[in-house]
Amino acid sequence: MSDFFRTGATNVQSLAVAGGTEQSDYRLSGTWLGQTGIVPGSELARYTIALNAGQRFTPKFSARVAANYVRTTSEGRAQQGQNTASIPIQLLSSLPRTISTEFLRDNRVTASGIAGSIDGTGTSNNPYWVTDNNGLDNAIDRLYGNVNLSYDALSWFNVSFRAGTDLAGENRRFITRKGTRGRLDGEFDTQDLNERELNTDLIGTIQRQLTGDLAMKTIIGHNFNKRTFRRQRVFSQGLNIDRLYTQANALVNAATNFRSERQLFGAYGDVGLAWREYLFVNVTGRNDWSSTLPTNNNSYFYPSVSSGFVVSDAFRSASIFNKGRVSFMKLRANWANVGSDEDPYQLAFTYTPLTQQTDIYTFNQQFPFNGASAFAATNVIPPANLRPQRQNSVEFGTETRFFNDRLGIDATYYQTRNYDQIVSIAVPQSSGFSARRLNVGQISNKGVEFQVTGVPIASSNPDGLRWDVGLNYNSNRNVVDKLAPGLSEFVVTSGDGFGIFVAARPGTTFNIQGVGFARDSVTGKYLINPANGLRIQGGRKLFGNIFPDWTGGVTNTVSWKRVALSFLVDVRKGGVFLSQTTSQLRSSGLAAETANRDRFVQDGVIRNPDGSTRPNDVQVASVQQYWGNLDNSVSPENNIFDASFAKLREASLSFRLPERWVSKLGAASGVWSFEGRNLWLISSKVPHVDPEANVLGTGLIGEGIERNVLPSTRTFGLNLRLVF
Amino acid sequence: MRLISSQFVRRTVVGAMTLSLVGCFQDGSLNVDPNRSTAADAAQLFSGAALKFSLLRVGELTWPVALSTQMWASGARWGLQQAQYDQTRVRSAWGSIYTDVLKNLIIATKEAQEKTPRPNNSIAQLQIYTAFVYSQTTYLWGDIPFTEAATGTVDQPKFDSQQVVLNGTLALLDSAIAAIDANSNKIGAPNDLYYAGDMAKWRRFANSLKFRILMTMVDADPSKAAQIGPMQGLPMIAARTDEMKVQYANQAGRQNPRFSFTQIFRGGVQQDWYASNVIFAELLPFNDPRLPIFYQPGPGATPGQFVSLNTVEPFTQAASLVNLGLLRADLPEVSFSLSEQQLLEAEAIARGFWTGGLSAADARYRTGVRESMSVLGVATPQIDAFITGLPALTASNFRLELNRQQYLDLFMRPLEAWVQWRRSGTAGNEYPTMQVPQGALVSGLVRRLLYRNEEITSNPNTPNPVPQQNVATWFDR
Repeated sequence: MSDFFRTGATNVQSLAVAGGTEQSDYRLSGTWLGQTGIVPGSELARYTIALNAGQRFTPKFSARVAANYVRTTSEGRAQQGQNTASIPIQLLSSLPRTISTEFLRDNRVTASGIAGSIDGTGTSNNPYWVTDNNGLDNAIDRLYGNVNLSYDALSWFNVSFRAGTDLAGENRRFITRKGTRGRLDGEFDTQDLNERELNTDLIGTIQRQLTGDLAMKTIIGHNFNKRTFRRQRVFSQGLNIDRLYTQANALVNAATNFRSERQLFGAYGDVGLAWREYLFVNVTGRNDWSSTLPTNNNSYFYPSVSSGFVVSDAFRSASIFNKGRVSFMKLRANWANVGSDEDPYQLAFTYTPLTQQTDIYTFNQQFPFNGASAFAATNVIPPANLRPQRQNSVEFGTETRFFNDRLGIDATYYQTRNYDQIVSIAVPQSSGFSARRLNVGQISNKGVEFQVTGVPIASSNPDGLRWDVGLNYNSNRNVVDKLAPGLSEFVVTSGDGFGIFVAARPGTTFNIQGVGFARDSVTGKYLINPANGLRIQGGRKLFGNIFPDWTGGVTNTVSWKRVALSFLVDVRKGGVFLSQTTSQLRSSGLAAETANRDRFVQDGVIRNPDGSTRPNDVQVASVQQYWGNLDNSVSPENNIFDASFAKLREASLSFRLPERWVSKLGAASGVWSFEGRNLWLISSKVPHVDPEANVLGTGLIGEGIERNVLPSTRTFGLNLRLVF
Repeated sequence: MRLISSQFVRRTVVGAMTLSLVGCFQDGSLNVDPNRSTAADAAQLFSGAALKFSLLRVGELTWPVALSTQMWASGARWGLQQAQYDQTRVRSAWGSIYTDVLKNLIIATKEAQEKTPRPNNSIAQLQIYTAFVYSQTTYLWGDIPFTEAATGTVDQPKFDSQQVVLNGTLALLDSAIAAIDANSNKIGAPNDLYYAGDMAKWRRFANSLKFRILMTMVDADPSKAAQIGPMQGLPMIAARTDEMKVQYANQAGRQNPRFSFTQIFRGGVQQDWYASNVIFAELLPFNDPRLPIFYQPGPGATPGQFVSLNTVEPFTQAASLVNLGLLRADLPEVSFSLSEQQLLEAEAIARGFWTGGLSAADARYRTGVRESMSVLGVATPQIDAFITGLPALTASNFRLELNRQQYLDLFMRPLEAWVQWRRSGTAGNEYPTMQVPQGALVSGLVRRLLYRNEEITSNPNTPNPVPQQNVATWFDR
């Protein structure tokens, strides 16, 4: 399978020019990044031009401009997930091991001109056909920047106005070529997306030394934010002429459009006091008015207080501090309340005009159908009396350095309380809806973070042996404290089609849940179907927490003379992980553990007609059916694994170039290094896939669910850095 | 810098603060969705829901049901697991019936009920269709949410017994039939995909549907005979133009999904659905002229050679396939046909629910079989010959003869054929006779679909333990 992939490469080149006078300065830079992916045919290019310039017109008035243009183009991006004919990983992981990559490479197309097949039923595509012909191409043009005008009205009072914008336009085209199995007539999907954000801030700043020891900085400001989004989409099916991707060449075109706009006004203030540069207190307050919330609840105020105390500066004369035993100590305590709004257009019960009525195999019917147009009511029950969502957080921390900075300990304890969070809770579909949107309740997080840095060995000679160690440890506890009235559970659907949810009840954290296998209540063993020796599907079951108990890492750097060796090991302990790839590999008999085809009797009990049980004595009907019975579509129980792992995340070997070499190039110093990332999975309990793979990112439902993701890559890099 | 005076700064700051403090977005107009509407017409909700349900019936619910109930053989190709009762292919139907079909029907009904003047005919159309959908849903899954379902007012609807659901559909039909009047507004063409607003046809369909539901209930609840009796003579489906069906078209975006499947996956060459020996045993010995209409010879068969398979047997080049003519693009999706009505009437008469005795039943039976063949395009002389050869119905043979013809009449309508099979006799005595397929996930023949995992895990009211596929539902006696 690995033969299918190629070695990816990334090439970055950049150039910058900068200059200035006493009154002005500028920096203009350009960067080009070219990347070839590990899937054949996948490429990405990015061009960046950035300008940052300032001009002081008078002693009191100055202006700055920042402008960035980024163009990103990508071709042949591989699909992940499910439900299309063109996911290379799904095709590869269902590939019989008797088919060689060479065979696939040489048989991309059949004699009749359609995609070569990789299975007996002729329904799956040769993955080379997919990467040659089908994929997502896109181009994004993004322009962002801002103008900042600053006027020092008085020696202690400044007024500034800042206007910024971010414009992004994207064209996407996803092609499925005519002749692709499962879509023999071909189709393509064209999307034009436009996003625009405008932000203005008018800020007054007062800065005064109130007494010899006490300084104050006060800011009052006003913010306006506007975000608009537009999408035009045409989905074209049934191509007359092969490889002609025009809408006129398609038998059916379904056009849809979408636009949204949101606005927000904010007014804010910030008072900061500093006593002798070692005691700091900041008090802030902000009120926002959002267009997306109900009119009677669209204003929300949120304050914060933060403080810092550099103990080692305040008591500089104390012997513990002045002799270097404690070289630095800072304490901090912060409290903040943050409010936020909702997505636009979530409040009303709405009806969507239908462009087509869909079928799970995309044999869709177009509207108007025989002249009839159609509407459908929303599948999300809209919220009533929605309130802004809130987060309350408290944090205490310390940064301390000992023995002239040879040992450092940073520690943080935090507690956040998210309340009135606006979420769509999954409801049973028999209610007529798939979700209900509401202020869900309160979820709290408590955690600690530790970072210890140490230098066990440090020679006084700068070229001598030195060993740096860094340790970090993070632990977080997430609990649903309470839920909105009438709600017994916080359930988020995974949308994966196998009924897997992430759910929490008051007093618990988020668990993966799904249908489990039935068990005997007395022995706890699986109930076995006497007809075939297989496990029986049971009811709902919680499979475990999606979050880790803790994560940590160790970095070691040893340097001697010009050479430095560094490596980072990451560890995760606890939490569970659902692997769809493993389920597929096993149910299709491709995983190594399925190689033994001898029938056997699995552990479990059989329920007798009189209600008593006996140990299972029925052989599995076939090994194929045994693994099929353990597939996610029956129950995810067998494909959920402990997500703990240890990884050698990074290693690098660097060499500081002799000055006489770099001076010939006109440089002041230079370092050459060889770096590797994601080098070694030291320990993992998840078979076949990377335990960190997930299909939907780091959101609540993405955590812990993997499906046909691309293999994670091991990266090696050579780096030469010259400083002029 | 004179351009910006301190007065200007002062005014700007004060102005901006004032703007902020007077409350913004008070009219909510910025948050009005430009993509969706806050109102919809009952007619447009009806066409959306009806087309969705038709698609489910003819597509997603056809393949797994036709294979697992042995109407088609899998040839061990696409549908082997489905033939062994793996229902993971019935992925969206459960949710879709409630969220895309029933909810929109219920909202449309409510919207119509609140209108002045009250569009009684629209309400009747919606209620009749709702009853049709619920009856189909309970035949598939047994006990289902009904009284609390699809309204948005109950998040976790209770499951009602199949008996309650079926009685509920009868009540809906009674209410709808009583509401039909000559003058009130109705859902007309083009949104009424079935009858273009012809209320006389809706009335006939409603009566036929009520009759059909009662006939499925009467074995489990003999008291229903008292309701079947008075239905004799009521206006029911009496012509092909009365049939309940959605017409698909040979036109991109309008094609019957059964055609699209073969077109998109196989380039139009049927190589997935094979002739099941269960049906063959009812056709071949009787020289039934429908055989070459139901099936086409395999690509390697000799001329006129028809070969059937058991449900999971691997295909051969000679094995007969379901005829592409019954998978064509413009094939209508039929929910209630004329021949089905005629054969049901024959059964009601033969069983004594209706008057007329066996001779009247026999005549009705022959009319039904004739229609069943004629609609498929069997030549009249062949029909005549076949009907002449049919035995006269007697007290001892009428169940068997009717069962056979009723089942064959529903070929390519697997949902109705499965109901017919389950009600055709007591467990083990159904008609036609079938064997549990090799490798089946349960030890008996399939009698229901499994509830979806989504419902099991999100609705604590789902029956627990979940009844397996071989457990009979209430009507299946």
